[in-house]
Amino acid sequence: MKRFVPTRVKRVFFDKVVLPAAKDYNARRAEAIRLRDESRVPHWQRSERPGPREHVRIGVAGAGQYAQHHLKALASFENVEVAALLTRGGPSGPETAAAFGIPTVLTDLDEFAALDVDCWLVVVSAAAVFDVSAILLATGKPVLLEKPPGVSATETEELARGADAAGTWGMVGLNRRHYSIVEHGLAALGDLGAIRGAVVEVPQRITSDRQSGRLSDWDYDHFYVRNSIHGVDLIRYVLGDPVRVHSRTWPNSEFGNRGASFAALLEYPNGVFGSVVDLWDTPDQTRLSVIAEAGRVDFEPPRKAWVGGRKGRYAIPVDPVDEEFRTGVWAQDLHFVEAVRSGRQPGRPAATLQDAVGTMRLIEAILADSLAPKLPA
Amino acid sequence: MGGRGLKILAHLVEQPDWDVVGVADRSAVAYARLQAELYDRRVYMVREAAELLPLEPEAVIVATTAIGHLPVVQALAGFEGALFIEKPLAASVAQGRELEALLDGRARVAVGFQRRGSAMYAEAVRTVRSGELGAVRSLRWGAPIPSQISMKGAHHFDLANWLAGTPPMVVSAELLENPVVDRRGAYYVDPPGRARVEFEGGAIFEVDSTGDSPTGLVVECEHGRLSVGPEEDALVISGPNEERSVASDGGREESFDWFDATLRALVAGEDGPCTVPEAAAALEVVAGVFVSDDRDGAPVRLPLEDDDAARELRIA
Repeated sequence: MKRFVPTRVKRVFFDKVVLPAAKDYNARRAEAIRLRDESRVPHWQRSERPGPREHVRIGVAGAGQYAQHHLKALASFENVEVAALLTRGGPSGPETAAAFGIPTVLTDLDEFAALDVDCWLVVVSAAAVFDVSAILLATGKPVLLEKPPGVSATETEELARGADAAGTWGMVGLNRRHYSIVEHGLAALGDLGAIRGAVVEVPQRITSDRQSGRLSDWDYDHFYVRNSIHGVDLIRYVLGDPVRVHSRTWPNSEFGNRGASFAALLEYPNGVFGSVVDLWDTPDQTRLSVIAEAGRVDFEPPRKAWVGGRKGRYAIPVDPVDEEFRTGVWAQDLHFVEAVRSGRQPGRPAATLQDAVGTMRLIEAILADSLAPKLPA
Repeated sequence: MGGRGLKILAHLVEQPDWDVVGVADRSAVAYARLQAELYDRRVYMVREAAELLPLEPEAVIVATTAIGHLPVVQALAGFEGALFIEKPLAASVAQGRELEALLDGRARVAVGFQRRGSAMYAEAVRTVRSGELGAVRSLRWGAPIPSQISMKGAHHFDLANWLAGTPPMVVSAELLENPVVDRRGAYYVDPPGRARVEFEGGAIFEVDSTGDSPTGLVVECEHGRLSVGPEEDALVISGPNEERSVASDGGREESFDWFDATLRALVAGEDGPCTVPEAAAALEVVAGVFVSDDRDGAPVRLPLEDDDAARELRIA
């Protein structure tokens, strides 16, 4: 005989017994998969360099939203002091100084540049990065500057020359290079044979971004250099400098770059190819796939990536610092501080100014539209 | 800094008498692998070999893939310290000859045919040279497992050159149809095979890297023989009156005893146990193997003609 169970009892049973059990099962299964993946993908936990840490005084130019990410990272380092903050005089300056215990707030760049610090961090608006960085590099102290390092390769070269002339160096905040998933994924690639090619997709939601008004006209006029620099730099970081670039562009400049498209084929020795595809106003997810002979790594920055080979596909572990801090910023800023302490230009993976010139040149080669049909004379 | 370079580095940072001042590699993968192994060490890594020079190293180890050796050594122009170049010397005989010309007369340089740094193999050569076993008639080497004739075989082509004591004159070879593709794919993999080298003095060297004949190294002389088993744990010298054995003073690639001995000698101001011309001679034989295989095993005279010398080998 069929037993009658009221619907409400069924629902309570489902909510109190079945659902928690299912959730528990799913959580345990996800944890088991995570542990399995961790055991199969190389990874390491970032930390400050062991040993004594010399005191470092930094002057920070900029108190905007992105500066907060840097300041949070710098505040976590032992023996690093943010000595002064340069602001444009708005309320965010004193608020930021109070939040991070910064003793001095200045609005005058010359006064700021005259301070006795060990190095500088430039996190001003993109349009001002070049001018502020040029002045601070001239002080002879190392500079970590946010991207873009000028709007052209010529401007980046000018910064690099300025640094040389002042006997110092600059490092550009191309922080994708410091993402833990990027480093772990590239380490996994080391076991997958020769790299045969890579594809990077850099969609930008320019129209909705423009409508939001969060940036200046300057920023939208230089949107490729300002934003796509990350994707272009990432593929260049992985594959190196191409021997040839073939490109086709449809910037749609007259209509605010709506639905703009940029596509480039990068040619390397030994039959290695790279491809950069920017289809703007499509879902905003940068993707980079690096294909090697015995497997591939697929990155979806900032925190997702997988390595795939003959034995399956595994998630790449994220370092806790990339969960706690803005992805890549903690490791990047630590790399900068440790280079300042060592008294020499940072090694890999840093994008030094000289290195960034290569990325800017690649951007210009992509934007050159080399495959455009030639008009009859 | 490929797999071998990383192993060398991991070894060196553990040694109290070596201080690694920097590493150069253009590859982001190489950087990431280095971090995976040695993050806490903060080994300073730059992109270009020339960027190592301001660090004032006493020794530079060139452990790129073979095709990178020539440009790296060119980039190190002016460096007068100890220079260790991994084997094979270059990716083509032409590049090898260019390197030879570039380093002609340079002191303190060695190529990583590390068996030349082994006291056991040095004893084998000393025994042969002493004449106690008479002239070398033949040599043969059988790999314990199917092996790339370029990467593994190259060591034994060099050993044979060393033991024979006269230049290799003719090489003939036939390789298997397909390479043994390992976990890393096939890009740098060449197939196993069989080869025969004739030396000026009349000795013959037969190589079998297919794994069918896992004999190790055997040197037949007029009055006796020398042998080193596939594990390379001892040299057995069988003379007319006695048989004696010499224990190995190091392992194979995984051990760095022979590498350390070579590097120490270089830093101390001595020339390396394997010179650039000697490594170039081994490269001629390896390249000759591929040329002969292309010609269905026809004998190829050494040194190679310019066209054959220009052929780029896909070797790591």
